[in-house]
Amino acid sequence: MLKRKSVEKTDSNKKSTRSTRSATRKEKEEVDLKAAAGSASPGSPSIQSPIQSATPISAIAARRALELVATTESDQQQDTDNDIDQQLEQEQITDWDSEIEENEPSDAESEAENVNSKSKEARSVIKRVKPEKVKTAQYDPKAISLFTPSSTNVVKVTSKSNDEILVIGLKKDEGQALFAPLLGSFSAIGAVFGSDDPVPSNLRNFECPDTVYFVPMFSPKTHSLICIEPTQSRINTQLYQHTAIAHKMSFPIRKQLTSAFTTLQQSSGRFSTIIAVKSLGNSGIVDVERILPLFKGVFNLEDAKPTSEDPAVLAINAIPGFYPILEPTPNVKVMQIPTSWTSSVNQFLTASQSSEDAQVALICGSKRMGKSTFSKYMVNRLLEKHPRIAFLEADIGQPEFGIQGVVSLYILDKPLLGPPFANSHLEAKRRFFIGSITPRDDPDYYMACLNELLTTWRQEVSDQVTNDTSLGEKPVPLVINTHGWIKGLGYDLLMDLIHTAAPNFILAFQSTLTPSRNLPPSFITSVVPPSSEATVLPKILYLTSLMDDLEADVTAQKYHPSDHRMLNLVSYMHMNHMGKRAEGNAWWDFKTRLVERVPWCLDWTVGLQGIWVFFEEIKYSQLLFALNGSVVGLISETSDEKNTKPTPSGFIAPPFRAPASCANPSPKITDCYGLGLIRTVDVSKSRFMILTPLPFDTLTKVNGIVKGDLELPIWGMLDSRNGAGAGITGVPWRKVPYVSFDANEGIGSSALRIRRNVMRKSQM
Amino acid sequence: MPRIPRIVPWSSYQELEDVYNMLYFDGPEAEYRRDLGVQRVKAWKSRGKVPHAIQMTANFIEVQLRDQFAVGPARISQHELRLMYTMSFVRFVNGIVDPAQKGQFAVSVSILAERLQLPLWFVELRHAGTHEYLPSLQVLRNGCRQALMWLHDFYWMVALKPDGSAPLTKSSMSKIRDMLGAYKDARKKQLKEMRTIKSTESRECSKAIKKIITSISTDVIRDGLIPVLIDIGGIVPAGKKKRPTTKAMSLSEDLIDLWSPLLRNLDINFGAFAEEFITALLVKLTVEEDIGIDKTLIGPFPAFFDAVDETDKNPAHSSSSYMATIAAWLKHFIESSAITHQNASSNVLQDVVIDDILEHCLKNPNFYTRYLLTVISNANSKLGESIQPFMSYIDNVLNTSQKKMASVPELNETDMEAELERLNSHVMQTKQMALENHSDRQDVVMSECNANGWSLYSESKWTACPLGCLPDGSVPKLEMPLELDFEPMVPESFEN
Repeated sequence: MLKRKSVEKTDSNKKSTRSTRSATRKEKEEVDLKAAAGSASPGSPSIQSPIQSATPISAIAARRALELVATTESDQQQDTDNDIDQQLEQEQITDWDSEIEENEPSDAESEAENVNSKSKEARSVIKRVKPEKVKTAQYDPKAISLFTPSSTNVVKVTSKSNDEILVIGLKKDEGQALFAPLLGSFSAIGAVFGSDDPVPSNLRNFECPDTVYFVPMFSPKTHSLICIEPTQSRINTQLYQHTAIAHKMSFPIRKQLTSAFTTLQQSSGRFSTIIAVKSLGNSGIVDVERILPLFKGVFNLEDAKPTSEDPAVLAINAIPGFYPILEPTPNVKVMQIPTSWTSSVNQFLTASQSSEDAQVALICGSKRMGKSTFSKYMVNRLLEKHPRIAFLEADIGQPEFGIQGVVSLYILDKPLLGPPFANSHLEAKRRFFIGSITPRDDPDYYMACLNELLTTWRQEVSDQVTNDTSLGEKPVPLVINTHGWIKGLGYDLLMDLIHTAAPNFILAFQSTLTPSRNLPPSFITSVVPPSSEATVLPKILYLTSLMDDLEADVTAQKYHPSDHRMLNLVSYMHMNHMGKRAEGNAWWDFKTRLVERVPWCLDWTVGLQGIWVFFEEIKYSQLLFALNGSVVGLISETSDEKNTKPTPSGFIAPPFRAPASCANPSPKITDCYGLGLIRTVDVSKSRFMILTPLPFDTLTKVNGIVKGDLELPIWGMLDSRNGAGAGITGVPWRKVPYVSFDANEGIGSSALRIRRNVMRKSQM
Repeated sequence: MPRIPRIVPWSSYQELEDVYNMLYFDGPEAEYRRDLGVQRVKAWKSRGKVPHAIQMTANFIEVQLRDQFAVGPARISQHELRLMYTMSFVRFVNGIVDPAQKGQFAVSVSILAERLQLPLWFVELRHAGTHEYLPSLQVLRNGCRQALMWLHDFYWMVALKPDGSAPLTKSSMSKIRDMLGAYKDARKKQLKEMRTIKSTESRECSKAIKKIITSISTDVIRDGLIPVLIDIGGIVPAGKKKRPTTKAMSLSEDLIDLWSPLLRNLDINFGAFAEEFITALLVKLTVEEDIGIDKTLIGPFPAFFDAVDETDKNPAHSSSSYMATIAAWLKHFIESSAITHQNASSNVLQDVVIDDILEHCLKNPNFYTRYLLTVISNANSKLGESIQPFMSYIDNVLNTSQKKMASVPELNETDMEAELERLNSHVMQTKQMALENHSDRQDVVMSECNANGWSLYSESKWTACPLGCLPDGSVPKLEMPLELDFEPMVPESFEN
């Protein structure tokens, strides 16, 4: 099924037009355009691209096209043709998204492609026609660096061991890399990193320190790109050094760095910040494209290599994994921080630094408004002033920390510098397994777990008060991230959470353009706590939604939430070394497929106290059919129950807590450590063979297994041949369980597919 | 992009068929069988991706069972039954009709139902139950029976492939042999005619090919057709003189001509043929020490295994001339696939994946696979360079083992075992290099089961296998005793 939102911009200033085409006429039009391009001589003032008639895609598209206003743009920017094309590639790849989506655009039969032409006014004209792409290319006018590399501000330093380090001033980047401030400070997503010394006027005297602390950052194309800017703020150097990765600078490098600084001295202005960039090539995350072809190339800039031959440009692009966006690049979107966000966080900071009570902030709003970016920003800003902050992740479908189906309480002391999968190695203070990407099937259990997490936080605060009064540290503030589900049951859950958590500040997203996505007006009064004894009256601060920024909104629709979940789950299962991450180790291992990995074995007669299955009532005798090859949550329960009794036949069954007689794992006595995959049930030896990234010492604490409805995508089940070949790891396809090549035959042969956008004729 | 399978909740086709048989069981004590089918479908629902039709079948049957057997103290009222039946009907009709709403605007349910051949009164029942009155119990019972029959005809009969996975009986194997024999004769005749008469028209030959293609389905190819093809009398001639020698492993032109049309047609008509054929050839080349195949590996039906036992452990297959022929065929495929695309249509098999052959040869070094490595490196010089170190290493290994056999060793047993260990570890290393398997595992030292029940599977005994399978490739038996369902559970304290 194809889904599309069409947005067309008209520009009255420029005379070029865009067009939409169908796939079949692709070749003919390419030829036309190339002919047109050829005729454009560099001297002429302006160029018109061939005018093609626009084929109306749908009535909706036409209406929206009329709504949008022409934008005037600066020289550097270009006008673009934006047909946004969302394509669910195949049924098998995309999970069915159970989130409630509003007003999704309707299906259309044909695929539209766009032609991008770039033209510039003024004397020199550059006309470049991009070849047509199946997926659209949209340009975010802000996603371009304000930095121009030149020989005086970019220097590449190489050492014998091929560790290249770039020394630069200011840029936006994409990919994955390590950054360290050498002088001055820079900020990214609100986190500030700096060295003690500001940039001196005479750089020649700079002596490189022995150890430079690098901070890892991830900025793939699946999310907004990180923007790095110089700042003036003073930071707590000690804190920063504790959180970063130390890198001993060898003598040759230091020598080269000193000479690099001499070069930098030649530039005309004064630098406010000088940073070093190093490759994070060993993390292994790029290999994820071996497993999930949907994410091919998200860590590099394959489709828009820089064309300039300038040595400085070449130098800046030399670090693998670090791709500054210097030219307009398609399909990328930059992370932006609107001013309302900054001011809201400032207000919270003032309160949290002055008040004696721990402050609570709750972030709420509909999906795709920037909640996740904002939570990162807020955490990073707060970490400047507080050594630790508490983060309650209540969004189980798109959590900030990569593990779906769980609610967690984190005590963070390091900034968040990447998309969710980059943070899934963090250990939670306490966590519970909900078993689904939405709480709709068991909202009571969801609320009970959240309550328990709040209790844990309050305990933490009171412990801190009793222990740390001498240090003068302010009580640990709490940031709560909630679901994007704000209608119906989701709204009720949000209200419940607000009443229980009693936040001091509610940060609500608001969109002026799409009011249907806003919280209802009654929200303001509903948040007032019902009982008159409550002391905390929450203050509502409104945040501008990123959707309101028309220019930027159109991008990054390429990836569905279900695609992100797939990426998160697959990279979680392929993680190495949870916990401490060192440079040089591979953080992810995508080379070894799940089917190839050596599993852990859990003997259920010895080490298992309970198995729960959520949402479906299963009979005991059928339990293993549900568990074999499934994603489960690994929990521990502190209780003395031991209920494995052998049946008369002598067979000891795994201890199943049937829903008819047993309740869900009680939050008061359980803790979830993470997810695992029961790759096989070995009945003859009474054990489960489990794959999980948890380290062994944590594993030994696990004594319970919970199955929800989390699913592993088909890509996780294949071997390195990715579906080609006669089978998986030598077992022919016919004998591989849980997969089938047989065509979908028979009516009703696919599982239920939910479609919420069918309209009636009477609605038009 | 290669085809990707889809995920299904059953562990094998057999399980799907079993559930079908249980759900539609109609014999003595049917209620237990049908109930077991319903419970199995519930376990599947926990996995997700259960086809809608299967869910609906289980729904209806569950309500039917309640209707039939809720008597005495477990009795439920007629109204309750009507509610349950109606709900099943509503979900049934909606589930069939909604996916058919492909357009932008809603099409009326009755029109869609007509297109899908759903009886109209199902739609009326659904409409009545949702918007109007609750239908009567009699109508609902009747409707339930009809709905189950509809599902049977329109889903189950289509989804189940009763022919596909039928065990290969001796009679079907002999039929395959006959067809291949007919082909061989026809083709021989055609070739003879081609030498004398110019016209190459031979209807017999193409008829024979067509017969083979139409009567054999995809599943039978691997287990039925290919073993017969690579048996003596197939692509390996019965007469030893016609086989290539080990010195010059090239096939005679006659042999290639004899089999090319059939192989080409099979390749065109069955997408997986080329891969499975080459895999089978490669397997024949590798002589493993322990040939004793575990019967349970082959399939869940013992009858199946007995039927084709004859071809598996044929001692004649390990004769050097047989192996030479197989190797020569592989050489032919490798070399012809290395020819550029201009002559692609004249290749017998399209899309020969050299990498698979390479991998197999590297994993199982022996004389013939070593020869094939030479062939590969000759055909593709770039590839040849990269595998050169492996080839020389394998040469060393083979030479040492040969020398060992030549001389009369006076080693005692421990010495020999040490040698074997060393050789084994070397070969393991080669395998690992070939597969680029650098695993950076945690440093965990454990062999015994930890006190908490956790341990690591011993790496030396581990082999990769699909999810849901044991390391030997089989699917474990997941049934647990039914008495577990009836045991009174240890009462737990209920938390409100």
